[in-house]
Amino acid sequence: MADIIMPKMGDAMTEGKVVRWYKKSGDAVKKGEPLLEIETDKVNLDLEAEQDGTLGNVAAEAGQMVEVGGVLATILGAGEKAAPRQEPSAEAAPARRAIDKKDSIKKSTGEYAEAIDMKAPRIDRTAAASSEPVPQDAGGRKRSSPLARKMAREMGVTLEQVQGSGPGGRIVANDVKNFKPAAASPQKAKTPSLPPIQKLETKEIPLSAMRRTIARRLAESTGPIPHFYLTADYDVTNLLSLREQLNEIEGIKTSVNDFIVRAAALALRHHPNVNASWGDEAIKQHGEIHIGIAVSTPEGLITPVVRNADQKSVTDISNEVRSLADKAKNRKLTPNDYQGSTFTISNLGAWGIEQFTAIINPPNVAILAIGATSAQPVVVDRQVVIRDRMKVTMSCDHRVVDGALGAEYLRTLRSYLEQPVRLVL
Amino acid sequence: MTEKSYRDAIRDAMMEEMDRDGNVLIMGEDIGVYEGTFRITAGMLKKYGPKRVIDTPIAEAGMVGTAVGMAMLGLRPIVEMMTMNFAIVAADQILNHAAKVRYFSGGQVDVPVVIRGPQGAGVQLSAQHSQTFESFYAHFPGLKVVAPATPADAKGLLKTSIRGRDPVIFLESAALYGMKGEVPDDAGFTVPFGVSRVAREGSDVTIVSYSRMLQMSLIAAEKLSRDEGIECEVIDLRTLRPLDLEPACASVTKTHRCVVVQEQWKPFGAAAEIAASITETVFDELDAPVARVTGEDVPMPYARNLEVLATPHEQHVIAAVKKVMYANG
Amino acid sequence: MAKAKEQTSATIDPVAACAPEWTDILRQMVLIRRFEEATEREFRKGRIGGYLHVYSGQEAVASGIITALQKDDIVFTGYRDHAHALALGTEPRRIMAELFGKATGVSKGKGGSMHLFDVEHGFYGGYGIVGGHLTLAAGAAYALRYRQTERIAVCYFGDGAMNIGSFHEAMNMAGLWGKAGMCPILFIIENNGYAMGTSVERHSALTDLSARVRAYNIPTEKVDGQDVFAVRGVADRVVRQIRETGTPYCIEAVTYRFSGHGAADILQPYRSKDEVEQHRHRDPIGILRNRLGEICNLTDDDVKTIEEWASGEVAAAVQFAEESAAPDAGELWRDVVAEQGPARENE
Repeated sequence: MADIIMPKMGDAMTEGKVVRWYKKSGDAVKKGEPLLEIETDKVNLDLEAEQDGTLGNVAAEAGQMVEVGGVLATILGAGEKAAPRQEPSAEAAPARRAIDKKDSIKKSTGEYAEAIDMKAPRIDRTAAASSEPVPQDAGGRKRSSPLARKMAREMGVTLEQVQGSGPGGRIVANDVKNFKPAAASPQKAKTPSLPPIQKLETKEIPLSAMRRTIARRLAESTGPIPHFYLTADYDVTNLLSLREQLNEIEGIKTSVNDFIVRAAALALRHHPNVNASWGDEAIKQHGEIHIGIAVSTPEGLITPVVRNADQKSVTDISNEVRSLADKAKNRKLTPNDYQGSTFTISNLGAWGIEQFTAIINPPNVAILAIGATSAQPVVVDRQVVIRDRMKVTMSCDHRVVDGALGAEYLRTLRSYLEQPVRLVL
Repeated sequence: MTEKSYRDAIRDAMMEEMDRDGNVLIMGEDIGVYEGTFRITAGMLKKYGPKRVIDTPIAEAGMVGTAVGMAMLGLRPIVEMMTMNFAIVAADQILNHAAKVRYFSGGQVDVPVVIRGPQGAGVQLSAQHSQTFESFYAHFPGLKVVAPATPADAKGLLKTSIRGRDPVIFLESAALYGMKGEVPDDAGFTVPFGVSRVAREGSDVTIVSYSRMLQMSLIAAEKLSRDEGIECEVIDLRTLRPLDLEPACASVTKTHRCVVVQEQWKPFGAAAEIAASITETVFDELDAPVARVTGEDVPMPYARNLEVLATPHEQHVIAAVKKVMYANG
Repeated sequence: MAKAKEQTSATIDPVAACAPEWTDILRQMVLIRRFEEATEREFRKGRIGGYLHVYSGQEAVASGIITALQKDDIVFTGYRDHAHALALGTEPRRIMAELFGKATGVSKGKGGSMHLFDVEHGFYGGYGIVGGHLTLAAGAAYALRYRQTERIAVCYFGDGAMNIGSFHEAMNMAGLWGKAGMCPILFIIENNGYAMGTSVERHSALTDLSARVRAYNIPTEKVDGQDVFAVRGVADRVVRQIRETGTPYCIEAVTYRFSGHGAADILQPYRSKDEVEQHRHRDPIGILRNRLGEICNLTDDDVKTIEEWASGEVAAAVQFAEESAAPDAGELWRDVVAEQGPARENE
């Protein structure tokens, strides 16, 4: 038995078309006799039998594209039987699969990836959140030299305040060096006072050599995303009482989680690097805050997204979450409902789980795992009192979020959760 | 140390190596009886005879091709190009053969051939005879590209070229042939490839260059020091492939400003590669974009006044330095 | 101008013709043919990439010359180079592995069909730019004499290479250096009638190709390239002369390629099927086989044994190539320039 294959007739040929068969299954054929006509990107030509015999199953019909090396038919020698004919199906043998161009591109990039033995983790597979055009601030950002930016970072100077002396108002090193803050330096009071909220913008922070090394080494040691975990224990007594008060208002029914969503979103405004994505060339800080909320459905976990959660009230968030959860349970979510989160919250408090760790939802760089609230004895002013406590565990992508940054984020979150009045301001 | 001209340093290097190794020979057009158009090879035919000092026909592809064959069979030929402008006639032999045969043979042969000759503008040779070729050759893996700025480097780098195992494009600046400088007498003296040097120390701006433009940059640096109080650090790259930018980057880390100077056309030139690499490496140190000083983007004209306009001069370097200092005016 | 000899036909000494060596030559030519058939098959299957130029039909030109050489003589050729490597003794499996792009290939999988290279067996390469290697070979010949060896260089090229500048520059320099006894080189014109698809009549103002070589003071001889007796007969004499004098010589072997120019040359609109069929009657393997049958009692069984041996060799080569590993990624950066270390003695 000999296979007749789609031959490679040119240096760049990857596939060919069966034009017509001169013989049909079961016909006797002689060596050198034309069996079928094929068409390549350059020529039409006849394929001849390479041996005497009987034409077995024809595996590619006229009109079909077949990749090089794909079987077109077999020639059976004396006494041989054709294999049972396989009906063409969607999962037809790869040899007969029509190739579309995209597929062959994929194949070649696959080979490339293999050849260079990619070690760098590739996380950002969904670009939904980042594909939206970034609104350009009318003022535009201030021009500055790389050195000036580095110095400003090191000196804690905000470039907004510096007057640039270079061409087009470029802030150069001297401008930063000579900059005298107009007011006294910002207070360094401890919590609960908040750092100034930064203006958000979508931007890419190029990876420094150190950042690349940290990323590579951590990733090599722990898998694609180097996770680490931070747990904070919050006093949510005030939060629970605020919620009760709110829910007493006619038509309002909020959950603790709705408050957490808003608190998490507001806290992100202080720490844009937590509201970010890892890329091989740059860390992308997102200009908008979209909170994914893990919802379990019979099919599994899905994370519908509350968009611009930092700009929505607790009750807005509450209504939206309820509607998204309903949709999720009825399998009515559209991709727009669950794509593009920049940060995720998973809450297993309702299951009575006290504390757990969650896996980061790429391309996010952090996720909060919310445990159940429970009344605990706490010492306040040397007296044992009963307070409501809640444990929150933050999983961080160490390539982007370092320990100190995660801790700062949880501290900011504390300021919102423990002083919940800030959430309704 | 002896004071020698750039021309004599090159001849010394070749003769020392021919004395040292019987497999070294030189071939070229009118290098023997005629003693070379720039008289680099004067006296060599008499000393080494016609088997080692080969007068070739005017056939650059033939010269380079046969030299590559000789090199593959264990000789160390030096090919003198009357000017490097003629070497592009042998581009197939240089780029398709010399640069690649080691690779496509899986490392089965060495190709120790040196292709050397003068290049550069300045004496009204017009469009076909005034070009420089470092960016052209430095683009190709498999070649080494050398561009010395001093007599000592000309000698030390040429000796390294002849002793190596790979094809070397050795670019001499015709305008520097008469330049004199201290050259070590030691027959063992060589200068390694891929090691840049700090030609002048300074704290304000880093100037990166090679060959004749390096000398011009040094003059500009002295003027800036005297007239403006600006101290430039000047880096001599010496070889373009391999390219050592470490001293340049270290310098930029100190000065935060950089000017790259090359003789020929700006688009896709050596300065573009150098500036991009510096920006990639020490981006955060830069207080201004890396500036390039290059020739005008035109074929070289004949008329003296136009030729002067077409080539870079000290004042261009000075202007570029002031620009990156934000000191225009 | 140098002398020309007319088409040389073989004068056969039956005793010499029946020496066992002639059976070896037949074996070699059959091996080349089977090998080339296999490369075409493997190309069609997509297991050989790039360009593929096969030698079928021209075997007598490779075998007739190369078997006349000494072990340390060296050979350069263009990109139709599988046969020359085989004739020089490179293992078929290392050539096939090279074609498959495998680490076990002669050039570590970095050259492919056009750049076979096996210095150990005196093969200084297949080259992909038409005419480009002629100057290299002339320089190599100079080096052999410069280093006071008795070795000679052989440089194959096609009729199509004779219109490019490198050909003329190489011939002139070889002729020039030959005057001083400094260029022991044998040039072989593999005149198969076509520069790719352009016939000699359409590509050369002067169709007497070797006349151009004589213009450079290099003597030439035209030989029937399908008759390995004829080719070898000339080679034996000429190789000795080159070795003794250090002067170049050129043999124009008139031959014919049975396959397309390259594997992509399917339609071959430049020549008719009839023409190809006619030339197949002058198959160099058939000519040799018949001759050995007539005068040396080579039997059909002997031939069958040879055929089976060659098929087995080639099948083993294909299997070896298939099973060999691809080059590792580190190979990408190796051999661009010399690694650190002492210089290689190219000899």
